Amino acid sequence: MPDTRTDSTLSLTNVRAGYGATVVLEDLSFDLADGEKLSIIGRNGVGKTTLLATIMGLTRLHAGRIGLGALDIAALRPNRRAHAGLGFVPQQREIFPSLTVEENLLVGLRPGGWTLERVYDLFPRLQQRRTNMGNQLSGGEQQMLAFGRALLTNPRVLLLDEPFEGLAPVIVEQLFQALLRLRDESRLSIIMVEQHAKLALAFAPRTMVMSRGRVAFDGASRTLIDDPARLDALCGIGGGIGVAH
Amino acid sequence: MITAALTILFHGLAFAMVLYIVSVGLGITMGLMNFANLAHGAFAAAGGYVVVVATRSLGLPFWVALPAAFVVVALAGAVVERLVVRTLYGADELRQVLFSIALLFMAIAGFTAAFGPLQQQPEIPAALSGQIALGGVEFPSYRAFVIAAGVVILAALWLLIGRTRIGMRIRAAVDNRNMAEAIGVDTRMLFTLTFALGTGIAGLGGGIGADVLSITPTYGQEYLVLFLIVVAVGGLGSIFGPFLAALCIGVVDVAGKYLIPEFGAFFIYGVVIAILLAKPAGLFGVRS
Ligand SMILES: Nc1ncnc2c1ncn2[C@@H]1O[C@H](COP(=O)(O)OP(=O)(O)O)[C@@H](O)[C@H]1O
Ligand SMILES: [Mg+2]
Repeated sequence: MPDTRTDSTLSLTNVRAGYGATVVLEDLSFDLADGEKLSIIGRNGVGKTTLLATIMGLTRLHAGRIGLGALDIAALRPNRRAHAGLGFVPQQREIFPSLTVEENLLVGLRPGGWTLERVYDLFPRLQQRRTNMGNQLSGGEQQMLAFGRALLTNPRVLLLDEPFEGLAPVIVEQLFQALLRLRDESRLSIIMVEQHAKLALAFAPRTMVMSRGRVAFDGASRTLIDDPARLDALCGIGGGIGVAH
Repeated sequence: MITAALTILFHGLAFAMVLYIVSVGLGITMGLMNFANLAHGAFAAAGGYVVVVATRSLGLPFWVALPAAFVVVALAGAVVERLVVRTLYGADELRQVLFSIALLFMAIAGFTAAFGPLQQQPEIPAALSGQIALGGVEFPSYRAFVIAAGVVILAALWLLIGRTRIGMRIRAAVDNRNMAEAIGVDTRMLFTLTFALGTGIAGLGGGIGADVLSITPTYGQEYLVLFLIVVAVGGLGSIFGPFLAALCIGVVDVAGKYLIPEFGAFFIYGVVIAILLAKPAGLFGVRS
């Protein structure tokens, strides 16, 4: 059961990774404690998506160690990493178009605290759309489905890549509330990559700022909330990150 | 007039079902793995030879020989996938084509060495060697069995792909392999299984259809274009598309050859071009 395990720490040590011979992440290290929530911000193109994809095993790892609990997962294929407890909500959502909504939810189902009923309770909209095909959904519905699909694999660590990107403000608000519920009601460890600094800083007590494949800041979100000038400097002038959204 | 129409329909359907049973696996594996397996027909021929050997040399009943053809060819498919095909996923098409053509010609040489160049016929059970009357016209019962077998296989595949967990995973992996992996689907194992299933069904088609597409060593080469047409017209990764494509091609081909024999295969290729112009991804293409 995911909520009773105590060794669900994700740790990256001196990770160098990228695509083919191209290195995007340079010597990146951090630890995530059991049940900890972490926000990651940074300008477009600094490697946030690459970081999550690397944890998932979808990029080329050149060097470094990736640990999940006591397990070194660096050499494992993505499906073994999923079984080891990683849940992935990718930036492009990547809903399976030829599966129905319910099939999208069930295809990765593994036993645990998260059940179809609980996901439908969190996102009632998905239940209404359960027989629709994956390619017949609005952006917000796709995002809910991507969340639900990851939750039903009953992960220990949930990786979210810009879950609010491209969504209308009212939908962002709804999803954010659902995410806060998730944060407060489960012992899931969560890493959320987010462009909206305001949402990111409000979501997790700890925030990491990335800059060109490296960690530029890793500390209390409070520090950045209290020092907007520092936040601005870290994220770069005109880098597309506003404190307001 | 009615007799001619019935005759065309009946034999067209039988031809279509053989095309379908042999080709459907090729469409699934091409849709899932993006691997152009030009040796697919050799697996069908292998199934034909299994049925020939089982019924003629070993004296086994036809009803034992058919499942044996499926199992033997599926196992061979799994071995070939593990040993070679796997290394060619994502390779450029030229390498895939050269590899699978090489495999095809090796199979042809192997079949010739083992069985000689001549056509081989399986022993058909007595129950299927008579005639049945349909609408006042007599037809060979065996071909009625072939038609029924095609429909049963369509239904079985439709249930497997549409209604089971493994089918759900196959569809997910066809849609997006990385994402399927990321939620825990072992796509490597799935590819091996699917390749085995696709080649196994082809083997079954080779055995069942020996009466329509005769079993010779060059089977896989001779009918390759037909199999590719069924897959291209039906759409890659689809179960139902190739069925419709096979129906069109089977009936049109038999009708054309029956009514205007001097034009030969002109009509089926005309239909192919028309369909592919109208729908480049095929009738039910999941992927073009
Ligand atoms: N599939 C890919 N192949 C090659 N380079 C890529 C690929 N995806 C992203 N990149 C490059 O990696 C860098 C980091 O991209 P990404 O991780 O998407 O940044 P972010 O998510 O922070 O916006 C960029 O320079 C981008 O061009
Ligand atoms: Mg990104």
